Amino acid sequence: MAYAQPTPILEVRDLHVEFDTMSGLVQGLRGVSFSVMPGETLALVGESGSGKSVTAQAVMGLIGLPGSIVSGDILWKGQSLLTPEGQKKAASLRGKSLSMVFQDPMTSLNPLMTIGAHLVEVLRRHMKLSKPQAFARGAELLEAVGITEPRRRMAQYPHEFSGGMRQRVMIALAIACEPDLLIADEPTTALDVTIQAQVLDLLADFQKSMGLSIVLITHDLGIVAGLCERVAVMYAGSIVEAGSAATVFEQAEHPYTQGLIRSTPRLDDRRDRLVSIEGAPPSLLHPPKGCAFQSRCPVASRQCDTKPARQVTPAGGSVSCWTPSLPAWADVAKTTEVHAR
Amino acid sequence: MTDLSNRFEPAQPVPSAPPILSVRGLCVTFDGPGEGLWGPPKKVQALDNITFDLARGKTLGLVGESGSGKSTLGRAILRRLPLSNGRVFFEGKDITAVKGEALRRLTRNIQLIFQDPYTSLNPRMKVLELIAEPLLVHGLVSSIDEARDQVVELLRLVNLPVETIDRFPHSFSGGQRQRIGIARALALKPQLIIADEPVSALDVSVRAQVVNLMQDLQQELGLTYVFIAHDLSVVRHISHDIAILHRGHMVEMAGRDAIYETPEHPYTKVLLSAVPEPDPSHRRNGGVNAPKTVPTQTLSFDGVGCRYRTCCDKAGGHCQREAPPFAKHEGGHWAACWHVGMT
Repeated sequence: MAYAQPTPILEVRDLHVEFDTMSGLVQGLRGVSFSVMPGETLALVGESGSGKSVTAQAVMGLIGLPGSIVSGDILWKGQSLLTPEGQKKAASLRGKSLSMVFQDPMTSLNPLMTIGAHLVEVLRRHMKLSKPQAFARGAELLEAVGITEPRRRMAQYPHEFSGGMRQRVMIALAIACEPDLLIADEPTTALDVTIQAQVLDLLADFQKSMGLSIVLITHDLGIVAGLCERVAVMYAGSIVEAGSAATVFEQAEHPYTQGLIRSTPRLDDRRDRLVSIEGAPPSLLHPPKGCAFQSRCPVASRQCDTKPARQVTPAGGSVSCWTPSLPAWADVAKTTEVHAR
Repeated sequence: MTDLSNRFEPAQPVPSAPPILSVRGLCVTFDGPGEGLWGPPKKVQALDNITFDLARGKTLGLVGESGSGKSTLGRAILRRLPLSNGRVFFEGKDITAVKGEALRRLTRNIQLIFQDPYTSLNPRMKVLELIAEPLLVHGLVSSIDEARDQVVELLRLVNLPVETIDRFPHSFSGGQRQRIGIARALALKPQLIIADEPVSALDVSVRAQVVNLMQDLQQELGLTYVFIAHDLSVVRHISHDIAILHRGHMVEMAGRDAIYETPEHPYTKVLLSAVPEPDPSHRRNGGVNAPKTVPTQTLSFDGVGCRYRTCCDKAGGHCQREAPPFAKHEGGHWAACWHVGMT
């Protein structure tokens, strides 16, 4: 397909999601906007409770009661998925052109179904293959994700697979219908580091060979740096900074991003102490009026009581901060130098 | 077990500061599932011939993947598991066979910090009760109210507001809960704390808070830590020495900078290369940078030779015939590999 002006494969516009809980209305997402171009890898980075998984669930149509999408729009190749016609279309997209890898490989597979049955089910449902065709294709897919003896493995149950192997099966299921976009929600959090490296390489491989777009949801900046071209940093239900991976890592604009990068331990770092962001994220039950990061921000001032608007940065990214690119943690870095051996 | 005396050098005696913890040839064996329904249980060697010393006021980082035996080693030091061989010395005293009341008194000196602050605190107990419980169990106070002053002091120590004393765990964030867990471990004024992945369940920005707190407490109270972790990224900042475990064997142990800058054992190198670096210039180009060892933990092992050889690209004939000893090499490195020092 040739686009005069490339249409994003997925576009999320000012999405608000709320959860009506016993203790009150929790504002899970507070105006999230981003887009994913064909073949691009976008990372959604944030702490637990920042809304990154809720974003994925909203795109996948998995927001169930008590949650609901209050406002905003989700567009698939330029067409809304939230209108009544869109919802019908979305149902056929999900699992086929738009697929997802979940965080926990231990609980996302049905323990009563063989690995083969999982694959055959997906392939018959979406690709309309016959049973023998689906079985043969399923074995090919297992081989593609690096599982040896795929035909024997097809007859086995999830409990006979290790964590890394199960996550490979999840990836095989997700790419079975040759999707255009894969949403990977913390795909390696439950895995050992060496297995994590293999799974990430597998994703990078498929992205290259299939021209897949990937939305990678993670809290680990190390994974982002290795796999993604663009990064969106989420905090308290909104995106505070977005841009290319290179610029975000080289010159983070938002104090939260700067702090996050500094508090990620590095192997080549000889310092005795880590930089830490004091405090905890605000409750989304009563989110603060102004900037959500205000209470933890070392350079917060009075203007932070009003919510900062999104502005474009010189490097082509965007940031929501009154004083972007101010080195917020410089003083902290100095004190840690003193501690260094 | 084999005769231990020739498999490791006796530790160099340090006259000035005797180690607070010494482990010699420690082995733990579990009964695994047997053949069929009624078959005799197969022995699983969870830890094999672990030997190390830990000096007072220092931190040993214990790193290994799941199934490597790192938590088992922590529990074995705490004497929560039967040892099948080897000795554990605490402050110079052999505690391998201690039991009953003596063991209870011993646990006052060795405490544990758990991994998951969400499941390790009883949701029906208030902070006061949680932190006072160890004091009560060990008979240091006769009622919870008597412990209030001590609990307030402990809350100050871990930087929690004193007014949280009557709250339940659900009103705390992950980092705060882990602080409660640390306060609970400190209540008995232990000398040695075994921290079993204390920050793995926490968010990155909060992780640093807890690690820094543990460092402050070490300086203030002269604590000794065994810090268990599943990868090499966090342990660098807190550890003085780092030991790498692989399938129940210690494959390498050295000072922390030596481990990161001049790793000797091939497995240590794999672990280092597997840690994703927060630097976009380290891009994955689809399999090229992948660690060579495909499944480090899952391959079967027939019992002869080096346990790592099935995943090792250097493995030669010698590695198949005989297991390498855990021996001291140049620069204070302890490593179990035939190839160390041969390059």
